[in-house]
Amino acid sequence: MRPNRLFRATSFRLAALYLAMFTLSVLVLGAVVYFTVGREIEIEFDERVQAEAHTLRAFAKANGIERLAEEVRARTLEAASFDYRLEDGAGRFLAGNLPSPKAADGQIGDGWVLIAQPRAEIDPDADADWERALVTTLDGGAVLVVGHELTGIDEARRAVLVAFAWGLAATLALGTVGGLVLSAGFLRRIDAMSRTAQEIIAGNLRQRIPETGREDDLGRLARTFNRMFDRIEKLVEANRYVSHNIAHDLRKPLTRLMRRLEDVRAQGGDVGDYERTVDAAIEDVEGVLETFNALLRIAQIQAGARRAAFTPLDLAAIARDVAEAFQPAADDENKTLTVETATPLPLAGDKELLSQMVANLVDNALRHTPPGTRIEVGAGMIEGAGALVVADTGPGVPEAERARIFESFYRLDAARAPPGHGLGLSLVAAIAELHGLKIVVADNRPGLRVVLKLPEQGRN
Amino acid sequence: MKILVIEDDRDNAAFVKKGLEAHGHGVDWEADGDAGLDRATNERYDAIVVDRMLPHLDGIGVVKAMRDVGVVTPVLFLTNLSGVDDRVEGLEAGGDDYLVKPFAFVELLARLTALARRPPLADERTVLTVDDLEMDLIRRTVRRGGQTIDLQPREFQLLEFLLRSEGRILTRTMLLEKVWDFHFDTKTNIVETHISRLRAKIDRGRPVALIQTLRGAGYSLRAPQ
Repeated sequence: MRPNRLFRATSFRLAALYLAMFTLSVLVLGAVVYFTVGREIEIEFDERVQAEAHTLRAFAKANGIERLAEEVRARTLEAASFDYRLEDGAGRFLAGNLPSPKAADGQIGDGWVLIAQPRAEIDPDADADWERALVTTLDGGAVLVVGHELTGIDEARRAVLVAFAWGLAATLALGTVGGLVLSAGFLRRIDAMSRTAQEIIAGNLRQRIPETGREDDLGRLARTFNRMFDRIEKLVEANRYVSHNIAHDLRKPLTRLMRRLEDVRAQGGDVGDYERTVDAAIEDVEGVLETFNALLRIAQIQAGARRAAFTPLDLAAIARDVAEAFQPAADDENKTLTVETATPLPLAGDKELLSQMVANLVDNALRHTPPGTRIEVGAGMIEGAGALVVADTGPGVPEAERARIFESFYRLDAARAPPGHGLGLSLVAAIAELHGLKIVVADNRPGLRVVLKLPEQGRN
Repeated sequence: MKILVIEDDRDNAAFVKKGLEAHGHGVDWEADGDAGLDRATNERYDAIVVDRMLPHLDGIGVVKAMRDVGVVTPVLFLTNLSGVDDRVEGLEAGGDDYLVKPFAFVELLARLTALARRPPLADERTVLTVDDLEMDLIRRTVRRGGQTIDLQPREFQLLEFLLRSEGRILTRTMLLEKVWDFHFDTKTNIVETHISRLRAKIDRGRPVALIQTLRGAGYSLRAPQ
């Protein structure tokens, strides 16, 4: 599998798209966490500063400003995380380590200010280090400033960034590998299908896509393709069989025709001989044309265009009319033709084709049975569905051959069969299929029993 | 009869023309639809033979246009296709009969003769008679020489068609189409077996046989000369 193909695979592109979207979500999530974490830490610190200022204010109220100055000094030295500054009402420095938060106009208002960190004086590079401080004016005009070094915020933010960077890297790596593996698996199965199709194109019609038995869409697709290949193989085989038989069936009468004409030409004879030869020749050619017409008709029926002209009719009535037409012929051959069509068989169909279907079945029964045979044409219900039955008490068809008698050119024991083009029953099959009729061939004990089952209600 | 043949297949046209002329009919031939339509509308014919597939205007178009301007000359369609749809389409366009190529000349001649001598649309005869055979269409009875003959419904229909076409040749396929409405052939000779039944009923034991078999062509019912 060339990598180039892998990257072009639909599945890979899909995986890449998902990966991109996922990465974007991770980034957005990272940003949100990053800012939220900073904000939360700030709020937390602010609350602690407020609490400290509140405590000191209460302390001043109880003990006076002098004691507060001492307390502030002590707390500053404790090196706790808080920073302080205490000024008296005139703005003089009393205690603490913070610089004056005085604005340019010398005024100080209560509230939050940003103030230079006291340690900035030690570290010359840290001149940009500011901290948030709360200014509170105490009773008596003294001003208390409480600040808190914001250490930790940046560390916390950095930690968030690092965690998300790793997460992102892992996402990208896993996503890419996963996408490649998925596409490779997908491509392998697609390639198997493509290879099978190629082999079939090359002429090996027996090839099938290996089925994994998995119930996913590709598995179903493979099964569908295999079913299609089965059908193609069957059709091609049938086609081959039919072409072979057409060639064979046409060669026989044409060869006979040529012999006849050559004979009369070589031996001469009187006008009567010539006339007889011409008559026989016409008969031969008629047989050939009949075969052609039957083939054309079958092809036309199989094309299915006639369905548009279907009308509601009664197959039982059609069968009755057709069977009646054969009555004298059956009598002449000493065969009994009984018609039992009291049960109506409603069907949407083509009267002419259905007549021909029944006629071919009766024709077949008459032509392949000895005198004394009983032939039945009946309409009835079989397993809840309407059915037309054409049965005889003749020699029947061996079980193994039954399925094949409706194939084109199939002749049971070709040498003994009466002459004919062998297409009568395949025409029956084509017409039955067009109408959704199911053909069942069974043993009539003795004889052949052909059942045409009507499509179930609501179908067709 | 004077017949117009509109057919672009030269061989088939020559075959038809030669055959019809040999039987004493006058034949005009056109090879394309436009020229054919021109003749069909400007001259009088007893029947017109039109091929379905023609250059320029096809057969269906010719007949439709012809009927539109009021030409009622009977038309026989020729076609390569044996599809039922084609026949229905041809008849709907105003054709009167239909023949699939290749055909035997007797078949064409029999059909043309039937078309050209078609009885007027309102054939009001209620009794058909040939020689001493008499069919009463109202009472549905048949008598020959005064003697009543029992016929099956289909035999009656067959005899009626033979009587109406008295003296003309009816081919096997014409009988299958008109009497049974079968537009296909069967291996079993349905027509022959019915004709022989009918013959047994109306001709057997009589000095004059009315139903004639014309070898290689068909059947005909005619009074002795």
